[in-house]
Amino acid sequence: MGREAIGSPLSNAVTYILLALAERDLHGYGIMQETLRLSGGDYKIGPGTLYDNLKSIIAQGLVSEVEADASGDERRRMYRLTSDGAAVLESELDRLAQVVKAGRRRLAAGPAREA
Amino acid sequence: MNRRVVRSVYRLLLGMHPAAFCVRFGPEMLQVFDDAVETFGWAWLLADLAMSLGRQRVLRSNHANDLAASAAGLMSGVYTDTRPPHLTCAKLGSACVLSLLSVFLFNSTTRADPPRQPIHHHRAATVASCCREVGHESIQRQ
Repeated sequence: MGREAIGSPLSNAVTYILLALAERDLHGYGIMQETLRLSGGDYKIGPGTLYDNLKSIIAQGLVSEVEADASGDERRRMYRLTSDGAAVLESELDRLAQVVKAGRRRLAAGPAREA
Repeated sequence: MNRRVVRSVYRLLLGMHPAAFCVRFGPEMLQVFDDAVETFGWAWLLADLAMSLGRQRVLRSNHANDLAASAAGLMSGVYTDTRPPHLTCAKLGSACVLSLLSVFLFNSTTRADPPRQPIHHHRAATVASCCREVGHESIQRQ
């Protein structure tokens, strides 16, 4: 399970969900807020997209459900990044770093562009 | 729009998702809708759910969903069909409707209402002259 099943590169939604959960366990609305904050307000994820993707990544073992939060609201489940999820995120971040590195190198080597 | 009405529409769209998804995530998604409606806006949330419905019904209608539904069918004495799903005209049609709905909802959220323009004088004069000509013609015919 993991990267092969979910495909490479990861979609924006999956990348942001995994990133949001990298620091701490969150419930659904927490993931939406964290995604908005991480992207500087450029990328919003709605409940439809969120749970559609959560369903897939839970099935692939990248994220797991944990006990409900202290508020005791059973509807509000918490989600946690698993070790497989962390490995997939790490691999995606490496891939993105390589893209950035290659892009900067090519831009620097290319002809100077007029302003 | 009335929040209660919007919530009902949201619940309706949610109910159109595959049964297994609805049972597992439905109540939680309604809770998130209540939390997020002020920040994200109801139209955007509805559009997001409509797109999710399209994806679930057309692109991700997998065998597991059907098996979950057929378990309920066994309990209620309904004949079950456990064959893998395939793309049908109904699915394509519902995808088209959902896509159009999504585009409409996104447009309504992203496009600011343009200021109302007064009727252009030239256009109004043209319309008036046309009306006069039509009036003359009808008088001449009589």
